[in-house]
Amino acid sequence: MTPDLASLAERFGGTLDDAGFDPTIRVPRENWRALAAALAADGVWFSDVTAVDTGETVDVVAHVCASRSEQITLKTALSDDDLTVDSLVPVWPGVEWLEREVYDMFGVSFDGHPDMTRILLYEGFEGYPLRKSFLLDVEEDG
Amino acid sequence: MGVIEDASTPNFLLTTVDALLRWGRSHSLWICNAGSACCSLEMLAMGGSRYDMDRIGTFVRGSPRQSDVLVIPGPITKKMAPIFTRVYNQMAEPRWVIAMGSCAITGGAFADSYSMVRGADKVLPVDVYIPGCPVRPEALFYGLLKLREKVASTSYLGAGREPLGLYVPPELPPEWCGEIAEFLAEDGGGDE
Repeated sequence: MTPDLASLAERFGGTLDDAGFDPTIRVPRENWRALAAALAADGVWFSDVTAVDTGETVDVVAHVCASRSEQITLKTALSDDDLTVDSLVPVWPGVEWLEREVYDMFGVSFDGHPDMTRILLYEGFEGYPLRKSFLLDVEEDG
Repeated sequence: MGVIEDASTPNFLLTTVDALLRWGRSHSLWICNAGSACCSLEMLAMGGSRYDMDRIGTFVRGSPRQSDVLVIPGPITKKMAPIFTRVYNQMAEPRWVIAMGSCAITGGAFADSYSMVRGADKVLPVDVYIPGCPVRPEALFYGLLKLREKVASTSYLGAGREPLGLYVPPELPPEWCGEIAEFLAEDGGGDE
């Protein structure tokens, strides 16, 4: 059963974009976890958490599934100077490693995450490689 | 080698311990099972019935303690570099390393990446380089036979032997790997 996305978006101060491939709900970051919790209460499961660096903002993206064929995209935009958002681990424990990967690659810090450390890169790595601002020093020998 | 002519029954050979050891070692090169990337599938194909590496005395072993050859079948990331070094140091001496494929030789298609070691020889003493992307099982066979030539012609006894001992890579930046690098810097990762 698909939840009523339009009223959900309105309830959490966001917008619903139904034109694309998936229905997409954009919410302000204060309501990120509340939106996920409301969806989870409806029996919706997450399938992926990732992020996009648009140049001006970093959008955290969650794909959730209402059924086998119905995928919903959730997005929240974070500004460059404050890359923090509530973790979804209390809602779906399985997002733990995915959020660590987003932290690893984009530097987004998730509040309430049990272990906010790098997962794929080594501990001493400097920078976040999937950010647009990350410059690859190919001359460096290594 | 030689046969003693005046023995009553000439059914024994004389040789040197060194030659016997080199012959034995070169005909039982056991591979450490450390598949890091897609070339390892070609390594597995070499173990199958079509190529059958068992017939030249090469087996894949599950433990570095029982292995002679460390095949690097793919790219080494900076995070994995100290782990490969540690596996290498756990192998019994003498031991050899094969860099299999473009990634293990130079970094290959992934050389311009934030996480790659550009060549396995930056962190391990490589004996044989096998080009290819991926390396075909025939090429790996050829590389193994080349390594056999090297093993058969190198002495590990006496004053002229190659130096053995704990291998600490000359340029392993500690920031790649945190605690593991410190551990390596202390005792090379051996645990005897």
